[in-house]
Formats: sequence, C-alpha cells, structure tokens
Amino acid sequence: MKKAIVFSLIIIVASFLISLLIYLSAKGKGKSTEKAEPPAMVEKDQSPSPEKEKVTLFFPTWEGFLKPQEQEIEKTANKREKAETILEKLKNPPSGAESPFPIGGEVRKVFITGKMAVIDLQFPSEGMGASQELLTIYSIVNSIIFNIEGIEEVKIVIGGIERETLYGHISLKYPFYMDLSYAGE
Amino acid sequence: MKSHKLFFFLFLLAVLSNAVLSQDVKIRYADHNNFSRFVIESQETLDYEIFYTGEFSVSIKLKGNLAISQVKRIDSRIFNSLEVTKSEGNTILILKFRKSATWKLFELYNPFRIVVDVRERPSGKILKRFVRTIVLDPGHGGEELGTVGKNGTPEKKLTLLFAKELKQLMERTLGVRVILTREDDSFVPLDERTAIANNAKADIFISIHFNYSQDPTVKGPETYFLSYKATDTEARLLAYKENLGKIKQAPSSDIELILWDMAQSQYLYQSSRLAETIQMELADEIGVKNRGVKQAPFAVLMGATMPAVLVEVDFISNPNEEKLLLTREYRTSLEKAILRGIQKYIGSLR
Repeated sequence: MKKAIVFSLIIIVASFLISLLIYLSAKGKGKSTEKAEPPAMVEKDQSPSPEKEKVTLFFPTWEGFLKPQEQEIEKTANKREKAETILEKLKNPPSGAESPFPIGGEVRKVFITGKMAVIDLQFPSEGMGASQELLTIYSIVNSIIFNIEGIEEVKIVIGGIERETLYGHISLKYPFYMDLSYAGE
Repeated sequence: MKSHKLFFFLFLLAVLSNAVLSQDVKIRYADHNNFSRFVIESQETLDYEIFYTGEFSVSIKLKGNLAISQVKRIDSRIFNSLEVTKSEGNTILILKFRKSATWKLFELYNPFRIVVDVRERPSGKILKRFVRTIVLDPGHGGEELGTVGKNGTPEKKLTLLFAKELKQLMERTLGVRVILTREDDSFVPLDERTAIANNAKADIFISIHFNYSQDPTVKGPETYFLSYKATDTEARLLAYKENLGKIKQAPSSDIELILWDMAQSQYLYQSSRLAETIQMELADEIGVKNRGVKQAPFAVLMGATMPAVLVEVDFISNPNEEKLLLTREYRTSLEKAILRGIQKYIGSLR
C-alpha cells in the first residue's frame, strides 16, 4: 500500500515537472517569435504610405443646408470600395463637421449596378424632422455622385429591403440624383 | 483760389468718408443643373429684409449705403437683370427673373453671404375652380412618433391637435368641407393619406408637420412642394412600356404606380403658389424672415391629384416654441396664418 502511494506521488511529481518543462519551452519559443518581429516592423515602416485622393463631402449643418468640405481618402481599387470609404468618412466626420448618420446608424452594404449605387442602411427607429431627413439623404447622395465617376443615381434601401421612407417624409421609392441646391458654398 | 482748394478738400473728404463708411459688397451668380444661385457677399454681417415682389422677381433691402461691386451684364438661364437703387439710407437690390420662378434664401458665414437659390417654377396656370373640399393630413401617428421636442412633446400629438383645430377654423371661416386623414393616434400609410384626398376629390391637400434642428434657437416655418423631375419619371414610364412590348406581358400594377407618382406633376404650379402664400403668412406671424419655399420628394405629396403642400409649421426643437405651441392661443395664431395663406391662394383662383 505504501509502495503504491509513493509510486503515485512520483508519477504526479514527474508529470508536473514534464508540464513545467513544456510550458517553459513554449514560453521561450514565444519570446523568440517576439524577437523575430522587429524586422517586420521595420519593413512596415519602410513600405510606401497608401496613395491618397481628394474628395468633396457634403456634411449637414445645423443651419439647414449641406456644407461641402474637401477631405482626403485612401485611393481604392473600385467604385464600391470608394463609396464605402466615403460613407465611412461621413459617419466619422472631421472635427467641426456633423455626421448625417444618427447614433446607431450603420451602412450594411454597398452595391454598384451600372450607373447606380445602392446603399443599404440600418438606422435607429427614433424619428427625425423632415429637413434633417432631407439633409441626411442628400448628404449621402451628393457625396457619392459628386466623387465617383460614372455613378449618376443612388438608391437607398433600409435593412436590405425597399422602404417607403426613412422617417415618414422623403420618398425612397426612386433613386436620387445629385441636387446641389441643398448645399451651401 | 482759396474757394477752389476748399471745394477740392471737401470733395476729397466726401469721397474718402464714403469709401470708409460704406461696406464693400460683392455680387456673383451661377447657373447650376436645376437652379441658379445669386450670392451677396460682405466681410461684415448685413442687416436685410426680403420682399416678395411677384413671380418674376425678388427684392432684398440691405440696410446702409453700400458700395456694390456691380455685375455689368447678367448672362443667366434664369436671372434677367439686377437693379440697384438707394433710398432712405438703404440699398435695394431687385433681382428679376426671365421666367416665373420660386426662390429660397439662406445665410452663410466667414465671410457673410446671403444666398438666393432660384428654381424655374413648374409650368402651368392657376385653374379657376371653387374650393369646396380641403384635406388636412396630421403627420405621423400610431407607432410613428415623428420627431420629439426638447421637452418631450411628440410631433404626432401636436400635428393631430393642430389639424383638428385648423379644421374647425376652416369650416367656420371658409365654409368648406374639411377632411382629416386621421382623427386619432393611428398609423395611416402615406399613400393611403393621398388616396383619402383623391377619393374625396379634394381641391387642396395640406400635410401638417413640426420640424426639428440640433440648434435649439432655430424657429420658423418651412413650406415644401414636391420636387419632381418630369423627364426622369416619364423616361421610366417609357422604358417600362418598351420592356412590356418586348416581353409581351400584360400590364402589371407597376405601370399604375408610376402613373400615380406622376399625378402631382400637373399641379406643381398651383402647389408652388399655395406654398408661397402659406409660407409668407406663417413667417410673418412667427416673426421670422420669409426665406422662401422649398422643394423635396415627399412621399405623401406624390400621388395627390390637387394642389398639395407640406407645412413644417415651426421647430419643436426650440424649447420656447415648443412651450408656446402647447398653448391654444399661440396655435390659434399660427392656424389663422395658414388660413390667411389659403385665402390668398383661393383669391388668386378667381
């Protein structure tokens, strides 16, 4: 009986020592990987910064019109990516500018079909005044059409489906064309 | 010799003082795709008033004897001429249009600018008709709250209250039949609201709303009529008909829907006139500048087969206005202003 207990203790201690060795060796490997990283960091630093391009975005203002503002965005490979980048910039505007997106408002997807950009939005259920709704829509529409060559109309869908309006005012039935009469100078 | 010198000195003094005292105001204009823009620019904020001077012009009275850098010749699709006159210490600009047009005005800052956007009025004429039925549409309702005032007033509650009171006032004063698109806090789809007006053969359709701005000091009305690009919808209809021909299918309800959406196009001229008279009276009543009427693709106006406007009566985001709008007295004053606007419009039909 005593022999069995001693044998068990030896097994436990041995397995603990083996586990400890495995752990330490793995930690040592991790460290060596971390050490190997700096060259990669250096490489990243040396890579050329992404090419930029200027776009004019139309941010809504409290005074009730859209304010055109020149912004820099990273050059993108296609129209869809450019539209997504523009919408991201509208969602996170520079300081001093207002976003057309209400808190919780998201872009679900962007599709390009011929001359039309289809923007699928997800907006919170809280209401909006008519002039706010008008500026929200035309901030998106004008910013897309003004900057993406070949896009002439923007269709807005909500949550993947066609909706009558965003908040009970402006018709979303037909695609929108650029309208600069909602914009200042 | 001395008198010559004195005269020269006084002349120089007059010229210099005029140059120093008068602000330099720059004028420019540009034609855009669907509108023309006229801009008055000054380094200092200008005190001004706007006067509605008919379908073919707008007048802006600038306070002070201002040095205007004149535009020698106007070459524009919409603007015809600019007259600058000075009277009683004011500088008056009369901007004349080539065609009947609607305008809206707003201000920009750094530098200060008064921007007047002018759109050609949709073609048409005032049809002589008696106004027997008016449909009032209290915006939103049911699950759709609309916007909510800073003190918590839901737009849907105020639109219903306002429309019910306006109905009584109209019936009493004009002796017309007034129909509401909703009598209680229920949700009515937008096309159903227009259908109510069409089925009642209404002569006027007015959708009542209240506005919201992030700026709690903004107040005043905004009156809209439908923005409609005839060519676009007609092109869609044509394309649809052509496709039908190619695939040899029976016409579906789609074609009726496109025709329904075109319904308001025949009434845009009258809608613009109705919007102007209501906007003018409401702005005057609330005590703000009349900044003209606006156009937008409002769903509720699309299928209306009569002159139709959407009135954003005032901003409930302004706590003072919200408080006032909850008083019967203030609401009545605004309801009477809308009534005067309708009366002026009806007067022009005769």
